[in-house]
Amino acid sequence: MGCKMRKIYLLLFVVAVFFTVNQAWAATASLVELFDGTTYENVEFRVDKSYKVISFKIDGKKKNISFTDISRILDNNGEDVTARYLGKYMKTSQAMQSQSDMTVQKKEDWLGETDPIREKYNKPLWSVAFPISANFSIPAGSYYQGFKAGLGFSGEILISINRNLSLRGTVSKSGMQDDLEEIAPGFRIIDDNLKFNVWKYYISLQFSNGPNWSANKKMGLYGFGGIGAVSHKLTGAAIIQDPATDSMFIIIGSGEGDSKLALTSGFGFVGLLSPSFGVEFGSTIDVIIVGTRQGTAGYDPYGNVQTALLLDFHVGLITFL
Amino acid sequence: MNFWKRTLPLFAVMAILIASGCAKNYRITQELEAPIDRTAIATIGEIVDLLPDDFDEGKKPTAEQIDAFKSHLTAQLRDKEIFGAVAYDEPDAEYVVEGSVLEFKKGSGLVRALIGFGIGSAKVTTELKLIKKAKGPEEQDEVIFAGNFKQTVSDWTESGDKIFERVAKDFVKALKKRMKKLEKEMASGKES
Repeated sequence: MGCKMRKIYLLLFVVAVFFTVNQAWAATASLVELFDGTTYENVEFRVDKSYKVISFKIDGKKKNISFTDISRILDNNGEDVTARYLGKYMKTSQAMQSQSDMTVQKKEDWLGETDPIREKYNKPLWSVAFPISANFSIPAGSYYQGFKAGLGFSGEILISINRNLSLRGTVSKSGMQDDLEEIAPGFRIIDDNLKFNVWKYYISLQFSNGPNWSANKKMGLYGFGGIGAVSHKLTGAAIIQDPATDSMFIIIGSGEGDSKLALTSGFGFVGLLSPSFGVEFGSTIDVIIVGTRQGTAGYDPYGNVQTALLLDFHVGLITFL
Repeated sequence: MNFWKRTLPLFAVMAILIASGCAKNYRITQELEAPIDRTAIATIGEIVDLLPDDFDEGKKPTAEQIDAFKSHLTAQLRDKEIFGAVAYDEPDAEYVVEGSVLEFKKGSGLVRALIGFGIGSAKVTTELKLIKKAKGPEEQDEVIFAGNFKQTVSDWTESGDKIFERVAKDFVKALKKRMKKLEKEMASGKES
């Protein structure tokens, strides 16, 4: 059996064991006390966070206890470690006492689908939002050979579909710096006024998990994916000189190229400063279908390049309506 | 020999995955110790909210979903003929099924369809108890069977609400299995 196969099997085995064990680990307690007064002393227990139970053996038989029945767990030093094992399921003693008492049991208080309180929580944070940001664009791959990272800006409009989904429209400019030393190695640069900008227009679907001012959730995460068009614009001119012959050459920007089909995806964070204003930062990756082919009419410096990549980091402000 | 060398680890991994997939979807916290009177009347009591305090109010199960859960419990108990009758909100019932929701995620069918791999799954963890009601003031209600039940729907072709139906099935199945075992033990005890 090959070494590669062994590694694959080992990886599969680790994954299988990970799913099987499912968050269970052993711990020891000097005392586990339940709300009904039952106590278990000096037990080695396992916490199953998936099923919200702890389990241990008594007289050779396995015993499961629900998190909701546990009053407290003391470790071997007598320290209360209930919160460490039960986490958010450790309620206040008083609240749990009322739940464990059959006569004062907590009442059902589920809200209906159209309950105004529920609707308030489920209402999208915004109807329309306008993020504006400054971005730092890094080109990658041979299509952008001769150009370096640069600054740009982007403006977006987010139209809410529901609490988590929005339609995202983007107009973005990535300004990049030319690198004449790479384009014309060995030449002396006399003047450089070349400007290379990438204009991007996208329609995306955005998934947001928060933020929600009314739920006191000030930070939110979002991710999006979409499709659009990208155009490249090279303007201005540069003058270079051959040091061997002192001949001068002028490189003139070719203007705006054809729009290219492009795919975009990204993620970011939004932090609320007020119910209608916040800051955001994130990252985007664009895959531009440039589809150049070697041997087509004219000089083709890129060879057989099908896609170009642009990585953006942005930071900006967002206003909600 | 070479074939087995290559395929045996794969079978082992598959066996582990199948075993974990076929594992029980519940942990019994109170095992039934004596058979239940099969002619008794049972009812479905309250399913309360024991979700963490900071759980988003808008993401909790709806009252309609909890009603549907109770209906599934009623239907399953009737279908498996555990009791003589299962009535809804019956104050004179001798047995009552009560519960609480400990974990809930509504999930998204669209996300399950578009992405998959467990993303967008609906899941629920509930604690369910079968309580024998006190017959008089000198007696106390007694939890005779209880467990924590968990279910997940990760298939986009299924509704997320199936989680409640599956939990109800698991609860009644576990109860019936235990009752059968106890009844069998009793029958063999009488014979001997």
